[in-house]
Amino acid sequence: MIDSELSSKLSAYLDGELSEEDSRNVEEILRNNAQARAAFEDLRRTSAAMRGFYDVENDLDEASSSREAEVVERISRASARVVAVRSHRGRRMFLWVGGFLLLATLLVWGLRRLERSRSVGEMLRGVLELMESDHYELSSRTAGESELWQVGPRGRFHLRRVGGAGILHEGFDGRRTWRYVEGDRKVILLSGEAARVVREENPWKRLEAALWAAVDEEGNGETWIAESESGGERETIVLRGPSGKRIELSFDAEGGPAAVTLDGVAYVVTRRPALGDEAFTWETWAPGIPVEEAAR
Amino acid sequence: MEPNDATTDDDRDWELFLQADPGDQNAFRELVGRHFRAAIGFCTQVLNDPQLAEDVVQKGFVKLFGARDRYSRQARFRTLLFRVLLRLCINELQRKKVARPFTDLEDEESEPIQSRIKDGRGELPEEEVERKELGEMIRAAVMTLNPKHRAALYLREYEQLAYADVATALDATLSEVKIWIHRGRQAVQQRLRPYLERGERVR
Repeated sequence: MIDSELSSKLSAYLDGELSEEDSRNVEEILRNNAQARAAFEDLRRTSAAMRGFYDVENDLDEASSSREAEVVERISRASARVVAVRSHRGRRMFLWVGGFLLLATLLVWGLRRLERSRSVGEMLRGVLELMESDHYELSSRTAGESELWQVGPRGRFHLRRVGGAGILHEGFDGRRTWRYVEGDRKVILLSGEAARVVREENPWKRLEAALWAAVDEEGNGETWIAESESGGERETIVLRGPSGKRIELSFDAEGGPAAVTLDGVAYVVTRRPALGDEAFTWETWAPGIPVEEAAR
Repeated sequence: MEPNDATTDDDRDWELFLQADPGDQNAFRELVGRHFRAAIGFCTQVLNDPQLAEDVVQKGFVKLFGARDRYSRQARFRTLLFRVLLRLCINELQRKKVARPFTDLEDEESEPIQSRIKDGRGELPEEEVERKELGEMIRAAVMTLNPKHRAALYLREYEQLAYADVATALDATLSEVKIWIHRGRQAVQQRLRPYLERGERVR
């Protein structure tokens, strides 16, 4: 009787699956151990018997042989069919994927275009909405630059004015930044590289000129004439412009505020007589954007 | 078969497998024909059901060709075929429970073999009867093994595959294959003990 480890080695040796060294060891054992030799012989005969058994099992009789061709043919056809179907499906899949990618590309391109035009449109609409309905609060003002905080229906809004002749306004309404340039005669909305005229006229400039005339008490004869009247607790400045246009600014004892509408745009003006050139502040220093009188 | 022949045969197998065009039935016919008997023998041994073996072989080829794009030449084609077939056989065995239980085999064995093996023309010659009897003993022993062990034994003894190829075909490790083959032989050897002790020629 041999142990199971040797038995396993004999099996592997029979199959030529041992390393050279293990093979030499097994051969040594077989030379010196009769039981191992007998076990190996049994293994060899068992293996031979099994091969014989499988040979017989796989030996097809005449009927099976003739049927073999028929089965091979059937399997070949089935295999060819599946390849054909896969190949057809592959082509179809390629077309589907290609079509899908094309559609997706077109969709993305279209959406981007739409988004771009919508974002310009929204920006413009946002500015116009602000012009019509929003409420502003001046938080600080320094020379050449101003900041405006607005709390409106669309959240907190920040507007910054950078001084200069062509004054640049930048705003952020919680969703996007927009800018517009205020010139002497035009207000231009900037959107990326695109610029769009919002107002052909800049009424603020006209009011500014009129008010300067009031301060100088000389009048700006060509355009506006200012007359100052004091009565009781209030001081009134009447501005007379071309085509019989008349604006009356009525300040309280402290110099303000006076609301005025010029060309459909509302302004709030505060008079600071002691400040010389700074005699007036226009709290609608964001030109073209009306301030609701009620809010003031 | 010489190694070079095996390589050449395997080259041809892969060439046929990867390039067979649905319009050219001959390529499919040649490849299926080259492996049909080996495939049927393998499945019959694992399933112990020749009819089911035929169906599984067809499924095996269809499965291989259906997923042709996913295969690359990493093993012998026949090894790959055995691997696919074994999975299908195990699925079939699990699904249909076709493996004959050992108790059934014992019952069959208890019936005298001579009374069962007849060709319709009378008693078989004694040598033929003994050969059949030996075959039934081996079959009974083999059927006590689980399907993977049966497959390992068949691939080694009949297909003469190296342990490494058997491991690839059965998705097993070399150690597992070594143990399976050894245990399979032991099971058969035990069943053949009376023959071996008589020292008879057992082929």
